[in-house]
Amino acid sequence: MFGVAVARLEPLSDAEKQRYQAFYCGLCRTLKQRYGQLSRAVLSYDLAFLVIFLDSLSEPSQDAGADRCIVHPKKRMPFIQSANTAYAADLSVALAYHKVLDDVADDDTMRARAAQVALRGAYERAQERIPDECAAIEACMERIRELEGTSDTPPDACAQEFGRLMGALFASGARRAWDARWAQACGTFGETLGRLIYLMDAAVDLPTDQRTGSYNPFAALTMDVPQMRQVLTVVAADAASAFERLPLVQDAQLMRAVLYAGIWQKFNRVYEDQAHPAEAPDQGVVG
Amino acid sequence: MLKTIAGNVENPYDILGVSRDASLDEVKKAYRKKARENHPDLNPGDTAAEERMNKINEAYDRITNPEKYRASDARKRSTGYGGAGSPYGGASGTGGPFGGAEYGGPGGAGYGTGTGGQGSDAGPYGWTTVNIDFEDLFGGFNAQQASVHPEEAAGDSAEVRQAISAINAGQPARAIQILQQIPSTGRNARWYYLFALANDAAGNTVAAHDNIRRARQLDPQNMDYQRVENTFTRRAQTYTQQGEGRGFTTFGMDPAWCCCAAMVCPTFCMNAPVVCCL
Repeated sequence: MFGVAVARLEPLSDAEKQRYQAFYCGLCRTLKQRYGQLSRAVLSYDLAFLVIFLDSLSEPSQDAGADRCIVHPKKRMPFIQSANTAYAADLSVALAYHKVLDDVADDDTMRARAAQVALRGAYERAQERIPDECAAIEACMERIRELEGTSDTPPDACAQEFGRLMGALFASGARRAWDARWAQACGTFGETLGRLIYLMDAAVDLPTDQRTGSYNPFAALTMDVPQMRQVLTVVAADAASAFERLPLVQDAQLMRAVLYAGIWQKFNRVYEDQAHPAEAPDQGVVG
Repeated sequence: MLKTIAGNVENPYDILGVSRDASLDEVKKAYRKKARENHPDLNPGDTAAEERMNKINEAYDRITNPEKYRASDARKRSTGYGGAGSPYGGASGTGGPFGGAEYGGPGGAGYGTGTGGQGSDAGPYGWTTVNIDFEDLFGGFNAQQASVHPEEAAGDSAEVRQAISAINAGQPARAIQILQQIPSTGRNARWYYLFALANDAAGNTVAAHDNIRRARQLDPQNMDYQRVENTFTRRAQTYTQQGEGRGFTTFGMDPAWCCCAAMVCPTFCMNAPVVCCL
């Protein structure tokens, strides 16, 4: 699920790119502070997006600075941390842990098992901090596993499940960050984003899943790449629409860089040659 | 509550301090300014701050979710009802804008937007799922909802009529269930069309696309089926245009992401220890 809610950097200004990276670095610092060095393995730009979102919603005071770290020993990297970074850090651990559990269940490689052992302690600490959210993640992953194992699962079922989870996590974030009155609207956005992430991932994994015979919602359908792209665009439209209804001003451009462009990058990489639809005929340009 | 003593609704634009032709961005900025001034957390001891914040939230909601209020405002005008209709108001009363769905604290309001004033299905985590019609937001704030209400046709079986009824009553899950009971021998173009509508209303976008495509394949001349497909196309186009308006395209990718197949982090990256910094 990671690597979808990332920004498209090319259209951003240098200041915007730096600010985007600063949220990532801030999340990294918080992970280190809360869970130790090993936890940086669960770092993702996707959860940095959540920080950007919650900070935009609640406009809290942000701790900004620049520091060196183990990965950047020479150059001081700017960072941004706020009260919301802790929640994103806890979620990072929880989501990564469950993804590893999934990998163990699917492939059972040495690497997956080692990761599970490595993250177990951190996950237990996350459970103390965000017990409801961890329970929700657990329940969701279990339901998705069930759905993936059942024949005749409707193509949207898993996406809806994952959407509901993201919705709950965003709603909870909104309550913590700002105001319970915004839980509904933020939850709606989280839900649409969750569906988008699941389906985008499914589209990206389709060639591999078809080879290995793994579950994929697109596998049973006869959709070509342009058709898949069209469906995903409508799903993305729902997410963008829910986003635009929210009163988010701070760092809106960074979030739009994710929602209108960044989410497509994995898809574009996999389907590079087939992604472009046929050129539309010229619409009424009179000579 | 936005109502004045005379029962007329106070203008949400006035409450936020923007002009009637303000852009969505301007409305958001105005909200932010008001929120900074009035949020109860920032005004400890000011008991009226909560009430002011409610008004501001409702004003913003009215402007950005006009379809929610169309139905309830029409009802109130006709029945003279002047009670608690605010989505952020008390949990008591006859319910929210779509009649019956109550807002109860963190449980979430039952505001269903999108096609035909549908209700919403309560999720397991204490808040309700909704479907948003993107076109509605960007068709201008007063745009008529482009919802598809299927009509009964001569020759429709009892189950098909029930399904149509369910779709129009905003109960897509029930419609899906009813339609699924019809065996494959009874699944013609019209079945796929209705199944597509029900799935779209339920947020099953992949199924909706797949089924409308089948309907169109079986009956390419049918205007109703074309119309539904067109609403999907329009939603996609609106999204693309909005993105382009902000300087974004859905094609291409940044070279920076190439270094890490998982786009996650340096440590678990397949090309570790390559550092994914920008």
